[in-house]
Amino acid sequence: MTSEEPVIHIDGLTKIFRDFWRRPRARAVDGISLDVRPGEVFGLLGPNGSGKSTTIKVLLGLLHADAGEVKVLGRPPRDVDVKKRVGYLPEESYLYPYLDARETLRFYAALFGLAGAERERRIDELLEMVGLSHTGRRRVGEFSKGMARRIGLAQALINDPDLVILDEPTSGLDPLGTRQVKDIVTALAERGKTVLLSSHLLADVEDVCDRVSILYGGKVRAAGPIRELLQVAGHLQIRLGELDDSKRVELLDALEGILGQRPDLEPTRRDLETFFLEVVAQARRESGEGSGTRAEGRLAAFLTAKDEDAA
Amino acid sequence: MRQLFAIAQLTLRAALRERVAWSMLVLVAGTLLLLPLGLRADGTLAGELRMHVRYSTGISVALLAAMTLWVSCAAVAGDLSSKRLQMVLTKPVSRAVLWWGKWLAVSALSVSLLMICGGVTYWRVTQRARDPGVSAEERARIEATLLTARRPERPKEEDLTERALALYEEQLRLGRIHPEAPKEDVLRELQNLALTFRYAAQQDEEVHWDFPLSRPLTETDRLQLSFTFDGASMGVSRIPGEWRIRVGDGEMAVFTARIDQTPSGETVLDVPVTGALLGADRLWVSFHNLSEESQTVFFRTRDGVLLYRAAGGFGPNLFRALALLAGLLALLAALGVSAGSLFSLPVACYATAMILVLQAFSGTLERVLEEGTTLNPNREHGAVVQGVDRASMVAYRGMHALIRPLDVDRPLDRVSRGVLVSAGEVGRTAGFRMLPGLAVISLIGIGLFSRRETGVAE
Repeated sequence: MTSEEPVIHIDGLTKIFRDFWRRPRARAVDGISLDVRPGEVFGLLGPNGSGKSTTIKVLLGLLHADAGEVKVLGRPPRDVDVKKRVGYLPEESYLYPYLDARETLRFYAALFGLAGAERERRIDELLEMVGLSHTGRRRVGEFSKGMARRIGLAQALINDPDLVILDEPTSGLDPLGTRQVKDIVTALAERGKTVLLSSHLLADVEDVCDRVSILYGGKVRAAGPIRELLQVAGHLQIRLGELDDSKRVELLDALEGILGQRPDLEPTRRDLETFFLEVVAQARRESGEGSGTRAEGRLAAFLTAKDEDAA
Repeated sequence: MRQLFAIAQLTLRAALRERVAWSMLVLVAGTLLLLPLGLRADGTLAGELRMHVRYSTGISVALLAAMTLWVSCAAVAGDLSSKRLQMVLTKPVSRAVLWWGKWLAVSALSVSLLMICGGVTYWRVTQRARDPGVSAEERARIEATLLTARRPERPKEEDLTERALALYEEQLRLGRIHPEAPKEDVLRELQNLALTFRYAAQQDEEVHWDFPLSRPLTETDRLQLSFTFDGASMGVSRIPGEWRIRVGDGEMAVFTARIDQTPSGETVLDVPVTGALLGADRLWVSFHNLSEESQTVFFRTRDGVLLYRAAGGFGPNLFRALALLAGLLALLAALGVSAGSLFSLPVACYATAMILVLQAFSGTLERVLEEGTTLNPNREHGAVVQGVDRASMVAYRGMHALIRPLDVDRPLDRVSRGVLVSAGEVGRTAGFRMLPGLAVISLIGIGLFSRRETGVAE
C-alpha cells in the first residue's frame, strides 16, 4: 500500500441480511462508496439503523459483503495481516467480566503477539491514559459503563494501530470522558493515525472529524469535509475581541450605514461542554480526586514513540 | 502459539465459571465418593471394588462427557451470543487458532478431571484391597481378578457356515422350515444356534476348544482358565464338571480341575505353568459335564471360555483405560467446539447430546447393522416397506460411521475384571480412529466456522 492509497476503500458496498431460508430480510447497506485517506479522522454519521455498524463490521471482516469492493489498508478485510494494524472499539464494550483491567489488556496484547516487558509497559501507559491504573484487581464486570468504555478504548490501542475504528466511542461517557476521548482522537490524528469514527452525537463528530459521510437507509446521503458541509452560502460571521460601549455604538452606526439596517450584537458565549469542564476542573482543584477515573487525556507514550523515532 | 495459549487460558477460566460445569463436578464427586457406599455387589470385597471401578468411575466418566459437551459448546456459542467473540475476531487471530485454543482448554480440563477421578479410584481400590481385615483368600481373589491386567487368549473361531447349512437342509427336509422363508435370515439364525451349541455340554459330554496362543508359554507366565455360564444355565442349582487342558489333541491332560458350583458369575482357575505347558503355543481345553441329571450346561458364546495370561498391574491398566477415555473426551470436546461454532448454544448442546445418546446405543446400532435389516421385510412386504428399510439402513450406517471414532470397547468394564487394556490397543484406537476423527471434526468445524458471519445483527 502506498501513502497515496486510501486506508479504507469502499466501492458499491451492499449488505443484505437474510433469514434462515436465505430470503432477504433487510438491506442494511445499499451500494455505499467512500474512501478514507491516511491520517484523516473520518466520521460516519447517521441515525440508528442507518448502516454505520454494518459497514464497520464488514470493514472488520465480521460480515461478508453481498456486493461491492472493500479494502482495508490495501487488502481484503478478513486478512489476518490487516487486523494486526487495526484497533477497534465496538459500540458496546464486550469484555470478559471476570478479568480485571490489566488481565483484559494482557489478553488482547497476547492476541497481537505482544509479551514481556514491552506488553507490560504498553498496558501501564494505556491504563494511565484512560485513567484506570488505580482499579487494581477489580473485575471489568464491576466497572461502570464509562469505565468499561475506557478499557475498551485502551484495548483498541494496545497494538499501536495504523487505523483505529471507533463505534460510538463516547457512548456512556461523562462530559469529562467525552472530552478525553476527543483529545485522544485528535492526538492520534496528529501522530499520523487514521481514525474512522461512527457516531450519532453530532457535536463529537464536528469537534474532531475532518470529513464525514452521512448515512440514511443504508445509503450515503451527504459526504465531504465538515467545513464545507456546514457552510451556509451567502452568510458571514464576524468575530471581535472586547469592545467598550462607545466603540460598540460606533460599530453599530457604521454597519447600519453600510447595510441599511441596524444589526444585533450578542456577547460571545462559551459552549456548555467548555463551561462544564471548567467547573469540574475548579472543583477538582478544591476538593481533590473523586472515586472514578483519573485521566489526564495524554496519549500513551508508545503511541507516539514510533512517529518520533521515524522523524 | 501465544495466541493459542491466551485463548485456551481464557476459555479455561470461563469454563470454571460455568454453573453447569460446577453442578456436574459436584455430581462427579458425589458419584465417586458416595455411590460406592450404597452399592450392593455379590457380597465379596472383590465384587464391591469391581462395581466401584465399573459403575462409580463409569458414571463419573459419563458426567464428565456431558460436562465436556456443555462447556465446549458454551466456549464458542456462548461467547458468540455475548458478542465477546466479535472483539476477539477483530484481532489477528485465525479461526483455526481460535478453534484449537477452545478445544485445547476444554480437553485439558476434562482430561485433568478424568485423571483425578482415576486417581481417586486407584487410591480407593488399592487401599481397600490392602485393608488388614481382608482375608488372605479374598485378597488372593482380588489380586487374581482385579489388581492385575490379564491378556485374554481366545479359542479359535470356527466357521459354522457349513454346519448351519447342513442344519438348514435337514430342517427343510423334515418340514420344520417354511420353504418360502428367506434363506439368509434362517441361515443366520441357525448359525447363532450352532454357536450356542458349540458352547454347550450335554450330560456326560466333553466339549473342547482349540486355543492357539499369541506366544509360547514361559516360566514367568501366569495362566488362568476363565469360564462364565450363560443365562440359560442359571436355573441349575449346581454344575458338576471337570476341566482339562492338554498340549496336543488326544494327549494326556496337563491340568485337571473338578468343579461343583453354582452357575453365577465368572470363575477363574489358576493353571500352573510347569512341565509340558512350558513352550506350548497351542492348548486344548475341554469341559466334561458330570451332571447326573440330564442337564445341558451352556457357556456364554462371547468370552464364555477363556485363557488369561498376566500382563501387568492394575495401575498401568487403569491408566491405559483412562487414556482411551481421555481420547473420547477430547473428541467430544472437538464435537462441542465445532457445534458451538455453527449453532446457537441450545441447538449445539442438543445436537451433540444426540451423538452421545447414539454412542450409548452403539451396541444396538451394531446389532441392527449385523442383522442387515430394520423392518425385516420379506416377500410379503411391498416395495414401499423394502424401500423404507433400505433408506433406514443407509441412515443407520451413517449414524454408525458418525459415532465410530467415539466407540471404545468398554475399557473400565475390562479393568474391573482385570482384563488387559493394551498399549497397542490404545495406540491403534488413537492413531486409526481418534486422531483421524479429530482431524475430520476439526476440519469441518474450522471450515464452516471460517465461513460464518459473526457480526450478524440480533
